[in-house]
Amino acid sequence: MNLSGLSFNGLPPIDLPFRFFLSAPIFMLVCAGLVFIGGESLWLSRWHPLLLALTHGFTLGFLTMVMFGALLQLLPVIAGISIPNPRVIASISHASLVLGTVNIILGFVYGKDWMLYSAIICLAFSLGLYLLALSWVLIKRMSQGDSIRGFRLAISALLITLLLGLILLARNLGFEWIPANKILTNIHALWGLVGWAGLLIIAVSFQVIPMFHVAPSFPKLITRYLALVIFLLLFVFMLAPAIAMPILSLCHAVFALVLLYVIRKRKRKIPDTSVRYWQLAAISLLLASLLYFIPNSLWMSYLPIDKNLLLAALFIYAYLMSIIQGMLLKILPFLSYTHLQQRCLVDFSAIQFIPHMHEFLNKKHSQWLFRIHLISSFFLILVVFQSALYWLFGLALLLEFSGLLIIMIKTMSLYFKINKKISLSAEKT
Amino acid sequence: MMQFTEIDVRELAPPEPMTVILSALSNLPTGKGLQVHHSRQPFHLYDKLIAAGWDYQCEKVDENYFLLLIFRPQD
Repeated sequence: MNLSGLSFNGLPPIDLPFRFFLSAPIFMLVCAGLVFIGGESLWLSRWHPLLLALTHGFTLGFLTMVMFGALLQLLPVIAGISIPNPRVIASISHASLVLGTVNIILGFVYGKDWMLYSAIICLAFSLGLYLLALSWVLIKRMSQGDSIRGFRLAISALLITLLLGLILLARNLGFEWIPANKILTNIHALWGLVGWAGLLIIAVSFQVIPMFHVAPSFPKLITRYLALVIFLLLFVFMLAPAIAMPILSLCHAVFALVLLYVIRKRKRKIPDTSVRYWQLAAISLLLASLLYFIPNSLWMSYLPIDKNLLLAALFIYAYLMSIIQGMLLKILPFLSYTHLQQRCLVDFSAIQFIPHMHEFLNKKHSQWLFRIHLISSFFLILVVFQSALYWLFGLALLLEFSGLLIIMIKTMSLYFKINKKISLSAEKT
Repeated sequence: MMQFTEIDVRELAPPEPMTVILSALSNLPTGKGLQVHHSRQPFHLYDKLIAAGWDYQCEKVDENYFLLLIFRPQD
């Protein structure tokens, strides 16, 4: 393969992913507020409107927000191509995602029709626009790499999640096109969590783990077929959930084990907090997958709690959120450094202004954040068992995401300060 | 025939490969090119190389092994 002379798009301006990243912890602080407002009763049923608001705060406000921001930068690095007109598309998509998420949270909390209408319009517009831009890239991209194939499946899953979500919201407004509300909600949740977020994380891990941690590649069998099998099983789930779920759990258990193995075999064994996040995520995923196999009868006798709530808590918070937060701590300093470093290609003297990458994010701060995340994950599990302890989880959320927000602001401030210094120096010469 | 300075960045984690490549380019004697052994294609480097007046050629040798040649076009 000779790629000489081909034109690749460079990295989009750094303020675009930064605005997605900055919005994410703010939504988590809103979620902490919901935990306090909802109190003990929030955890009694998964259909509680405040729990639905909380779930969408986590999934849209944090997970999707960060993944949208990260994809803007990841695609140029691993696929060599960027979305068209990144400033226009990212700005509009970000603003409408923020508005849509605020409205869906408020819509569930207050039950006002206009909020749900507004959520439908904003989310359809935001996700639709971003999906169109990503599809343009992923169809155009010549490479058929395993990660690119995984991205294609993940964004197809997001489209299905979005359509199902819009149908469900329309039902709340009295437009009953499809019956069986709860089954449809389960299908929507699974496509969103396992399809969109899960497949994207799997596809990203195939690239990021070997690249950032100098680890061996994932086994070919896994990189080639795992995402596709999970995607097909999500269709099977729509018709025969009892057949699909055990196989889906098994697939995730295998992924968790392979992930742990690949991380263990990494050559770069320096202490790294993001590795701890990956390990916590893999162990939580393995635990969730294994707990699924405990028969319901045994579960009711020994664990008198909502099994689905526990599995969802493990999957969303201890698995998905751990990886996303770990990746954020890895890519924030990396992006800041890389963007500044690229200026040195034109002006080599600029290198004198760039600090060491670790100065963009203090290692001790990320270690503390990981410890607080461990505690908040534990408290969430505890709340599933004992809902009266909801305030412990609320406090941990407040502490964790205030910390993440402060860390982000510090990193971004340092980036803009140095960038300005390089520009001033270039103007003088 | 052009001579190339050789560097191997396959076992380095980002952003070290870029740092090593940049530093090698800044120290490259006139008339010499740079041969980089890389574990992946440094896509985001390409446009910047062209903008800075370099040309490049990349060949996939193996699954996780790419050979990148960076040189001045007039050479």
